[in-house]
Amino acid sequence: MPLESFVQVNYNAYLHSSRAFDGKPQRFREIKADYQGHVAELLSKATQQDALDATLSKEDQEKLLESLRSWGALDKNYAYVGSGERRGYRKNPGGGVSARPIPSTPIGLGDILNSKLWSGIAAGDVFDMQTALFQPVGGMGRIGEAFARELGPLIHYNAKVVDIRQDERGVTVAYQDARGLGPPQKARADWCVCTIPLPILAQIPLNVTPALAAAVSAVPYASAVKVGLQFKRRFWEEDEHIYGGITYTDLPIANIGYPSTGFHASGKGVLLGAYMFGPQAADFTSMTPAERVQKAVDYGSQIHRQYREEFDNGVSVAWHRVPSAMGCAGLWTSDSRAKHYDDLCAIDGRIVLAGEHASFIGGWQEGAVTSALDAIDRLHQRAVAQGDKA
Amino acid sequence: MNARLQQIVKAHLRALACACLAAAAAFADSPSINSTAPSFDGGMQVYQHLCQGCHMADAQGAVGAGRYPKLAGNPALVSRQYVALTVLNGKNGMPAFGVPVSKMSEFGSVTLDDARIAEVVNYVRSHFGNRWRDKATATEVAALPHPP
Repeated sequence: MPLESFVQVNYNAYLHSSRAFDGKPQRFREIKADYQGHVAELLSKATQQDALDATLSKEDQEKLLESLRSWGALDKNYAYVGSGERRGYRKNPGGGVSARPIPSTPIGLGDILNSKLWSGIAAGDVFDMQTALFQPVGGMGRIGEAFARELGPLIHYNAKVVDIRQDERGVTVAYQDARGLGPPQKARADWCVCTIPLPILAQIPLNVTPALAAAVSAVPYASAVKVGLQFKRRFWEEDEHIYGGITYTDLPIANIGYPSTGFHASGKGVLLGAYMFGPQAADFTSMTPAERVQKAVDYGSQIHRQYREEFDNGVSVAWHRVPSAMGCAGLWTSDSRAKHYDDLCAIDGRIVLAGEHASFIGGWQEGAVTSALDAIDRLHQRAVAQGDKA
Repeated sequence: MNARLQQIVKAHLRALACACLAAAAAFADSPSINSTAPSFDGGMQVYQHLCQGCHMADAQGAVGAGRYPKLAGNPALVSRQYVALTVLNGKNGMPAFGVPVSKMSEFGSVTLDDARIAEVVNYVRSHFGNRWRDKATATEVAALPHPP
């Protein structure tokens, strides 16, 4: 399965607030450089005004000042006056007689603080988002397809599980054809690794301990919505020089994700026009698919004026409307984890659960796969210890 | 899983998985620019912006691998307290809408205050063919057990 680079952080993408800078999107590089520069200057002042004497030795204060100049692009007086090399220029440096750059003007710290755009700066610093990242060519679905290819006829498709019953020797799972074809069937095995999402499992008759039953019922699923928008041309590249990465906004669409591949391709292009969790996702789930696309275009046009002219087509996925999942991912809280997580993962007689819901990497395929590897390791040990065939 | 696949999966797992929630999880882990929390005016708006995502616009519910209960003609709606408790505390996959804002999950819960919950309880019990006349009040909802 071939991989390709996934662009998470793009300094040329935008941070956008509908309530700041007259609704005009700001380049990530400008907000980051100015925020960092202003903060570095403030901390330099505090240091020079002896505010850190109780915390740092004089020698360390000198080192701190030196580091702040580097980190914040401060001048020789530890002031931030804007740095073309960080935030960019009004006119870029070039060659020949028109080579000289024209500096740009930094945004004031107060404006940045009031805009809340600072909250988009650290997105790419999160452990799971740090560069370099990869994606399967063709999308994340290729991973599931690879499992299907390798496992072949072991997988029964369209099998809707209706009952899971264990006894001292094994587990019987009753299932029906989801399309209503044929009579109900049963599968029998010594052990059962159950990866059914919890909202569905909570509705299936299952004879397990009260602790596991309580855990299965204790985890609601997060609401999430994605909207894909196809445009007649890749205007974000042609007009705005944005190649991959993500624009963050306070609008309900939450962000716009640009494709990480196919740069400079002629013809149509697709971007992620919305990716929402929480209340906005619940709201979009409640709309018709056509309304979701229309709303994503309406909101997105506040960031990219080309939207209306270039829009071609769109699709959406609302995870609560996915019949096999009924939600995006386990909506754990620290309280519910403390109370139920270990019970959810424990081997219960001859049944053990696996899936992103049984992991600390919620919502990720990695959580699902690592939980399965952990579960089958434990099952193997249990089986061997009991003298069963493993 | 055969050895080759296992090797591939182990080697690339973290990298592969990253694309799935890349935008959202970063958002979830850091303070969000997105502070546009929807506000609702009355039970109909709560229903149309939240509940119908699962229970559907006609309150007929839906059936897939699991099911979303239909609310139209559902005899469980006889008890307004039961409906309010379900909205407050959730049930199985249904989230608890009474979770305090301070306890929001990393993926963003939806919190309704007691007045909104009373309104939506009254709305579903008096629409979609349901004709229950007794009304829940915010005071009554406030007295019911809320999620911790």
